[in-house]
Amino acid sequence: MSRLKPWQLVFIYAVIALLAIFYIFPIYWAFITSFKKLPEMMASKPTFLPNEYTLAHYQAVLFKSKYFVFLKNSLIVSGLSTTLTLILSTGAGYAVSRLRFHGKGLYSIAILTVYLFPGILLIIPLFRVMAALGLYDNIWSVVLVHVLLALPFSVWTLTTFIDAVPLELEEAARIDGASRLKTMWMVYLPLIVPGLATVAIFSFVVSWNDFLFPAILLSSPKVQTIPVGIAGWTSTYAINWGQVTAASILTIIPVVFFFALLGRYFVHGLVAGAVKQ
Amino acid sequence: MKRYLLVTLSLLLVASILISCAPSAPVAEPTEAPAAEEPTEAPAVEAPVTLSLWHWETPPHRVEGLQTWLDRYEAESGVTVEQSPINFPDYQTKMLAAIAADTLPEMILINPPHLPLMAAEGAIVPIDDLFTDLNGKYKFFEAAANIYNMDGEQYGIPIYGVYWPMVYRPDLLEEAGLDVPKTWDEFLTVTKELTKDTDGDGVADIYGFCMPISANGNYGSQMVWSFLRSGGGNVVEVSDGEETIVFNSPETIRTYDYLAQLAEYAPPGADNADWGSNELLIKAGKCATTMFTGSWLGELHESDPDLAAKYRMTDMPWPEDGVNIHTGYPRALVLTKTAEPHMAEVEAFVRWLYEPANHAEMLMIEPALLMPVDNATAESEAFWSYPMNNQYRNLVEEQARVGQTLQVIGFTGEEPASHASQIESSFTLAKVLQQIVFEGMSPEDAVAWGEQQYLDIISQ
Amino acid sequence: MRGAPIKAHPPSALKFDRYYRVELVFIPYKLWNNLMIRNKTIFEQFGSWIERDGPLATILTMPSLLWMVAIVGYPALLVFWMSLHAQSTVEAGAPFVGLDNFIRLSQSADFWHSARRTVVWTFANLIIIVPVGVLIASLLNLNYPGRSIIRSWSLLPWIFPIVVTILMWRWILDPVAGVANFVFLRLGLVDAPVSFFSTATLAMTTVIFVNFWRWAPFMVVVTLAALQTVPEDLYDAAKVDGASGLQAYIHITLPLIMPSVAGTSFILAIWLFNMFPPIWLMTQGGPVDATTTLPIMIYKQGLQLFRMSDAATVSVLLLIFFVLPVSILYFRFFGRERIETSRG
Repeated sequence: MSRLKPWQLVFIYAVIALLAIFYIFPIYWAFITSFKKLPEMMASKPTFLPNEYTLAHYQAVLFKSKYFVFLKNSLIVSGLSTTLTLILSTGAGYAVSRLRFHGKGLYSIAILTVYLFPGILLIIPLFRVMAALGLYDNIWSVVLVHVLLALPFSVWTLTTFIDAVPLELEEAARIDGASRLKTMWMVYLPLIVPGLATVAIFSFVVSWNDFLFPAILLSSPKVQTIPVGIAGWTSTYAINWGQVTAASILTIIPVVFFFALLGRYFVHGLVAGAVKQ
Repeated sequence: MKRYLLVTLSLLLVASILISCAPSAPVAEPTEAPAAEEPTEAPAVEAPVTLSLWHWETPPHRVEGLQTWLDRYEAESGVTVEQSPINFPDYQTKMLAAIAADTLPEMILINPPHLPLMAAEGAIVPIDDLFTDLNGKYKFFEAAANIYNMDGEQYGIPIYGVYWPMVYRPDLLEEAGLDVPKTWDEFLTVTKELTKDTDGDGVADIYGFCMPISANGNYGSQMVWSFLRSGGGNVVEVSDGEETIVFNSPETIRTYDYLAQLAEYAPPGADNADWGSNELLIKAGKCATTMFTGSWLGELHESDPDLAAKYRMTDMPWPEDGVNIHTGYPRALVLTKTAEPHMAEVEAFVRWLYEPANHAEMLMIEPALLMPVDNATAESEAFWSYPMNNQYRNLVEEQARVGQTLQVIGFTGEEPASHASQIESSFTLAKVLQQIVFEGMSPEDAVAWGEQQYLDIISQ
Repeated sequence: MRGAPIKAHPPSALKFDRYYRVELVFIPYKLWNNLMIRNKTIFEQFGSWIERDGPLATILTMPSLLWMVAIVGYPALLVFWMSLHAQSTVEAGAPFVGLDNFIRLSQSADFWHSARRTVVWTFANLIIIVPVGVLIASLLNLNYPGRSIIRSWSLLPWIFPIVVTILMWRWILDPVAGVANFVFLRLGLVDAPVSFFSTATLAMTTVIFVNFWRWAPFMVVVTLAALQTVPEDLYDAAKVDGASGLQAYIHITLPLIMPSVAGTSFILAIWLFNMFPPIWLMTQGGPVDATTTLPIMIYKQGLQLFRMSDAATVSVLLLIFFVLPVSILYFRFFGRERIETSRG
């Protein structure tokens, strides 16, 4: 990559600065709003740094509302769907990558067609199906759907990663008498850890952020997840921007934290998929 | 040998994971299991009974207030009543979904438009005996009770009322030398005069009439309804069980004509306004008048008591040849099919709820918003012992007066319109106004359009 | 122990044999190990059966396949079924009406308006997101200090829950107390506070803008990935030939990343056709249906008015007229490679 002239560097940094403002400002604005008192929040002249601080909104969100219930439910749903996705997609990825079987091509296509069916199209019959199964208002219905949302990408990603493991390693293990399962466990698993991380993150995020399915398949607040819970505070009946922004900030913090730790795997996974095209 | 152990152990591991997963995934069926063990007479039940109550008072402090109240009941009776605060826009959807999936709670609070829908689905049970008993003791407001009487059966017990009088600032009127507006002409004058820019930045800071022109929720439509009704118009009339749409009429066109004039002074954001956003305007002191409840009082009393003290309530205006009517919703408690297996517990709770002292405590989770619908509570010492009710006497008394006679869309006759629910949730009244104000339609064309919308609804 | 002749011991709870420790427990094990079929125990039979490609693959792929059938396949069939019947509210059992629903809906003005809005929504989004994303990615890909940090954090906004993003922007765009109006007024861009959701055009523009805020990072990251695959040597060769940076970009980089960008655009188009949460959370399809795209219409018909059949019919129409054509195009251009690269 050629070195850049100074004016080019200035230009690039200017653009980056503008982008940074564009993306950081909304978060900053929500952040300071969550600490403002109501009159200051609604004043005609908004203040960019609060004159008075208050923790009332955070207190209301954390202690008076059902936020912790939502949080617990979100964690359970995301955790369960991530675990299940990992288990299912690893096996499927190995099968698609290393095994020969009838209908492999069909399976690959089938997996991808999942993404063609929008949530909105499926939600109505899904509601009937879940009701018939007795799973309405049960978080397992949402877990089942989230696993499905994450599966295609996960299988695809892991297939790529497993492809990258040299065949010789498996052959060597087989010669040593290891069974199929053993080779999967001892040979492949350690080598595809980045792939597993990608899948874990992807399915966790997809599940954590999903709004449509919990909104429709879950009814009572005691099983509701965070996205729907927060949306609930902006009902046409009553809205308190202080509480809404406080809840938003609380919800963003773990996402940012998560991303700081594991973001590169996520990007890597996305990259692997895109490049494959 | 080793392999066998491995298989067994892994099976055990999987099983234990599944088992440990199950309790942490809450199952929503609240009471089927304990209900089966319920003994006939003894109040002390072996398995704790949990009843479920749906409502839409979602603001956290109201949830907290209700929880404290329900906890007290649990301490006294040993029966747990679980509240499910559900977002109002989703309320009807979730009720219907719960009917389909058979996961209804025992008790639901509903609005008048929900009644025909729920009764048609067979989801709620008539409670004539219980109602007669309670009515004898507490004397519910007749209008409220009649709304929940359908086909000769009483389905709902009024629990509280939410009314929409005119909320206004007498201090601003005085400053401008204006009287409290009673007619439409006076009201238009007040709106014009009191929309002003007080700090010279070119943008109005006070709005004469904080008016919603929005189909975002039912606020906009209810505002239109208030003017429509007082101007002599109506949406649907019922005779012999037949619905007739009477929307397209000279009275209706006159109402919209008038509203279009008012709309010139509407605050920004009127197009998307809802109860929540207008409440913020009131709390920020930006409204000289508006049609509203008393929901803003609690928080404003804490954050700006001076401003809170400046507000008063009175009737919404009506044209000279019109009628002074009031609007609002009395809400009712209904019992569902799910309540039948353990009616004893449910009735016990209901009786406890309606005792004036307990009833008043429930109403106070949001002072000046949840108004009594029965004479006993309205006159009780318990209710008037709360300082907020005394400090803001005007707000409470005006609402109590307003609540005696209410006009509700689809309920203006003897029997409710069977499509009352769909009519209300279509928000057509607001959409017609939007067509006039934003799309430039003439009132005649817009009203004709609205009439067609309503005809489509009842034909479904 | 394997293959050793069985000792004819009756099982005894009291006796502990030297070879068989806790005999009762291991009786099944004994059976397993001693019931021979073709010189292998049942356990071994199973073990070697599962070694083969076919059965193993079946076991590994069956769960996900069943999952898909249950959660996508069956509901998809149900949607088609519902579109051919007249179903209102949530009751089961509805009369068959053939293509009535389709005929009625394809003649309804509402449907075509929603379809038009869906097209407008999708293409407006694509026209903004794709070029801007590619440009930004190209810039970020240049060699400047801090490049890796910037690139690693660039995806973050897309990862926020959609609800949070929408709410943050709704607050900024609030007509009365939002900071956007304050800034516009101060900068003299407008005379009066703008109500961003008042007119049809404005509402749609606003929603598209917020959606762009959300999806641009995604486009940037995917393009960055594609840019990584362009070999350095090509640039060096171009430089030797005397090409400027810009020329190299236009004639080398862009053509090379075009397949990837195009592929992503196709997928993004499909997602955009079907998108529900952003529009719903911002405007609920208003004002007066100005932002009601087909997914919004499906939701309103199905879950607010409970006209299930109408909702299903619109879903099928959405699938046939929008999703299917784009998917077919996508598979024609891009699908082959992926299926071929998986072994078999």
